[in-house]
Amino acid sequence: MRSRSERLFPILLITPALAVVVFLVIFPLLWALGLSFYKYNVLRGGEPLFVGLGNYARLLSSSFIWERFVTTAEFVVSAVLLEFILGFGLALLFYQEFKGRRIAITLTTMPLLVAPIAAGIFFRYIYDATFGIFTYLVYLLTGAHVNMTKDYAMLAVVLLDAWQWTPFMMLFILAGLEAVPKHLLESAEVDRLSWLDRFRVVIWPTIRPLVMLALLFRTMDAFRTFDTVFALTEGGPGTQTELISITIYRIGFKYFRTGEACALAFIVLIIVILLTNLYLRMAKKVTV
Amino acid sequence: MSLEEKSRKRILSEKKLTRRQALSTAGKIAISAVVAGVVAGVGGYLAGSAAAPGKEVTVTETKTVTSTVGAPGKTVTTTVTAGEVTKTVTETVTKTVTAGAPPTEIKPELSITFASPEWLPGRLTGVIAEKFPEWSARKLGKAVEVKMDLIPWGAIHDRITTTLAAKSKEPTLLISDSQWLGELFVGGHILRMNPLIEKDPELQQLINRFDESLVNYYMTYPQGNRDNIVGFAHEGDVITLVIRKDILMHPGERENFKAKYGYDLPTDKYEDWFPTQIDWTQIRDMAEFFTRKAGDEIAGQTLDEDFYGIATHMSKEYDAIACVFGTILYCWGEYWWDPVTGEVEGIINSERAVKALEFYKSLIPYSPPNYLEIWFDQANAVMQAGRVFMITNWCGFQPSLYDPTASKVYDKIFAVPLPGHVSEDDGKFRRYANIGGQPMCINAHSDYPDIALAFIKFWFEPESQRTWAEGGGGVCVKDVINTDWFKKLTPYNRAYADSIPFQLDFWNVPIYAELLQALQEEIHACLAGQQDPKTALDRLAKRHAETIEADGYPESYPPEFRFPADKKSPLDVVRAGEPASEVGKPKK
Repeated sequence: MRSRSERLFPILLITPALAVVVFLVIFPLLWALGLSFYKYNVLRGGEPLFVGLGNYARLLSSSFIWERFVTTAEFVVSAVLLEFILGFGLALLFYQEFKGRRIAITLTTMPLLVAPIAAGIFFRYIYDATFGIFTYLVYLLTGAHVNMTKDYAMLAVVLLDAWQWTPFMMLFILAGLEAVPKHLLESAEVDRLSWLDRFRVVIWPTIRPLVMLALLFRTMDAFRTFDTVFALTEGGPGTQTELISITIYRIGFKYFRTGEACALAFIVLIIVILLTNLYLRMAKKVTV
Repeated sequence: MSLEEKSRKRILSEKKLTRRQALSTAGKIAISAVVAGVVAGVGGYLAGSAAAPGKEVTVTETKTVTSTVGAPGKTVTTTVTAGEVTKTVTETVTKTVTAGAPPTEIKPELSITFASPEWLPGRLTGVIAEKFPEWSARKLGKAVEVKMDLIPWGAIHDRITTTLAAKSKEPTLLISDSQWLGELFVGGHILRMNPLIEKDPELQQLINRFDESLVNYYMTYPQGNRDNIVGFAHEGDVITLVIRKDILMHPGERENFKAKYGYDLPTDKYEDWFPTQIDWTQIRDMAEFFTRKAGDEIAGQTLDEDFYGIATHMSKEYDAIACVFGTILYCWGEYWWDPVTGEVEGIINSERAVKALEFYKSLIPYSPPNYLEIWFDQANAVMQAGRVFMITNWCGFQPSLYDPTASKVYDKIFAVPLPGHVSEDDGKFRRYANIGGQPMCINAHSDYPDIALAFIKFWFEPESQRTWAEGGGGVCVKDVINTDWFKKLTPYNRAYADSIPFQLDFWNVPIYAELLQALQEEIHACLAGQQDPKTALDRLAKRHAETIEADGYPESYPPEFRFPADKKSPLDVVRAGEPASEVGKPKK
């Protein structure tokens, strides 16, 4: 039987970490949940007024909020899909050995090092319809004056997101590919399996859990995208690229409708949790 | 265990053995990335330096005037071109305003903070504040230091509001944008100064030194209600037109313009633009006329690139649209809402408002392709590159237009007040504009409101105001603004001084942010071609009505926070076409 001090020692060790989690994550989360049931404006002060599910009802019945959810869904699906396709392509490319492969991988992953707010500002200048290099190159190639942030605003933000996060997807998939047993690939080659069959039977089953994990991370991340889009279009033109995260920011820190902002943040949290479960189930199914 | 599983395990264990290799590779990748980043950064910096436009080869006489205040210390430099120049000789004046230690070494006994945007006026305020310890030691018997907390413009609202919401005692002094006054005052975060002013004849006199517009929009809540003095004008700012005079004065262009439009172009003489009643429709004619394609000729020269008629603010950012569209809206005889009742229906979507928006939108064909992103920086950029005939911009952002190291046209431009408009329905000429700039306020949670007020007195002393004007600050007191000395100090000061009396502003109520956001979104969508002007304004009226109703304005506000029903509101004034100074005056 362990002594009292032996039993207390592990508790002592985890207490600092636990305290950090409780005070910086769990307590604010519960506080925010509580606030979401109140009408409260932090800047105007006064007593918070309990409104029950009033904030949730107001948000879910607002056509403006639903428009933001649709915009966010369009962005998340397009960005993650494009990143997956490009990331997969790049991973297959870098799976082959060739001269300069390592430096090529390094260069490809560089966008991950750029702060998202800086990336947003860079792309604003790149897309600029009067002076932008992108506009100039398109004009040289096609003779057309393209105005990305006006005529193709959603595409513009999706391309920016893909530029920054495709390398992340690529690294995950490349790690999966590297883990495919070499002897199985050799056997498949001996059996003269076509490339497609080799991919279907040997490669895909091995990399699928990693792919699901990459998709999960990127979907969660894309859902809370804020800085790149805010810096590039500020949600415009009009509200064409106004994501739900930008709306939460405005309600919370511009309009100071604190209770409503908390309620909207919790709605988003629930959606992300549901999506996470979906992905985890899919990944689990594969593993089994 | 199957053969395949065994084999997999073996491979996995092999993989584990190569972890060191993996770490080594990862390290190399990280180092390479950092090195590449540094190389790219240095390359970018050099490219940026190389891209700066070179000085044009002209006969230029440069005179450098250095005005030094106090001992060496921090330095604020502004470069401006003198307004009165001939076609061949340009006089560039570079002023260096330096302030430092006071005449005698004084150790501050107390320190207060002044939160300000991180830009030239903020830095200049810091320079002037360096003399406050000596002044306060002399006048208050206690040396007080004012430390500047300079915050980037994009973050200042969030920083100040969250700091005040936490009831922080510092900053004692803060810069508030004019529209924040309501949310800060109603929330109890900035001080109502009336009780202090009533006890102090010097402060009572000070109020009389400001133009009515500045009192209405920088200093009172609700606008024009002197029973609630909540700030003092600090950095005044207005929008003016900046025009290419070399193109305007080209004989061939003037002849062709008259042949096409049937009237003469105004000349580069200031009086041709103010107080002459130039109409916004004439501005559009000029914009249309001077819009040219690459390969066309302008003022006798063949263009390498497209040339645009006008660059005006149409960006979705902050209040970019609100200020320029607001200006046009007032000139067309309409306002945003009725501040007495909170009504918007039939006001912001009235026929006059729709016509104003149609006019604003009609400037797009003559604007640069990035018109939906144009704010002060973008407007300056296209003018500095020599690719536009005229721009609208805040005086506070105009110095770089006259800087030979930044602007290709530094010696070819002049600034004039914004035009007005003769209304189609009542035939009245209205000239109004939407004000910019910021007041300074006192934190209601601070322990030192008396010292803050003493700083305000110090700020408006002649020496401080002279340094403020010389350094490029937006002076707000009439006794300085209306002097010839001030009007000739920069190429745009005269237009600034003449524009102040016709300034109006949009809402400064606590819900301004939501009203402003809806406005920026709906009008921006209209400018982008997503909806027509009537639909945009109907949607805007609906959103504004919902916001105002949810807030309970005006019923949920105590009487002292409502716009008084017996006083003239901006709505009354613009609809009647009366001078802007009538706002807040008793209704007849």
